[in-house]
Amino acid sequence: MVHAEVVEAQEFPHLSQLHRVQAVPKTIINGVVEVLGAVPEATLLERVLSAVGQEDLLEGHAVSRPEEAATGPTSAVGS
Amino acid sequence: MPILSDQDRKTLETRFKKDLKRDVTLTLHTVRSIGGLVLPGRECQTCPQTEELLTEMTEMSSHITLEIKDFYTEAAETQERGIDRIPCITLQAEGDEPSNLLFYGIPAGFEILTLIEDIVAASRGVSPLQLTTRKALRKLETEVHIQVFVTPG
Repeated sequence: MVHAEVVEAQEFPHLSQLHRVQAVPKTIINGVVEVLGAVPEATLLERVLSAVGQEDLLEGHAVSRPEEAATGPTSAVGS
Repeated sequence: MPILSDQDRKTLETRFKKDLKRDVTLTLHTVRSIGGLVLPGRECQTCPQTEELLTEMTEMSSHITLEIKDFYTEAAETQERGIDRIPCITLQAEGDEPSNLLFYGIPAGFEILTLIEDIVAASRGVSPLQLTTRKALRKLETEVHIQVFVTPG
């Protein structure tokens, strides 16, 4: 089961500070895994599965390495 | 003065008319004011604008309805869903369980597009994710909590 939250970073500064959000979009998986920028769907899936130790479900996926992600953070918070 | 421009309204009406299939209920968890006043400590700067924006969206389609829940006095659902901040928007399509998505903060600027796509996806009952992604997620053995931090842009 996946629960998702969209959080408007400037409205909830305490939460943004907790997760060191300096640019958006920034994705936090299970409170610990950080994904910066708008990454391809397959990359996000890889990070989700690795966060829960189920990388075996990735079979058959062509996944780019996180450092090769197409786009980084697109805008700074508070700018 | 309305938040959505005439052009926005026309675009939304066209999109909703084309793409909405089932009714969708938006629930706004907010703080109710009494004559524009709220109790000290319960102030919510963006709650009034969020309610205004969602009310305007309901005017764009008969498929969309809005429920207002007071975070402090109607706490049953907020506690059940783990909602701990306001404003918070949840959505539920007719015949479905409530969506697993919580939308914290006003969906202003480009973020309104995110909410629109969520409404359309819920109404159509079709995930925009690739089949391979959906297959993998169905096999998850533990719960996953994803938070995406955004700004209005």
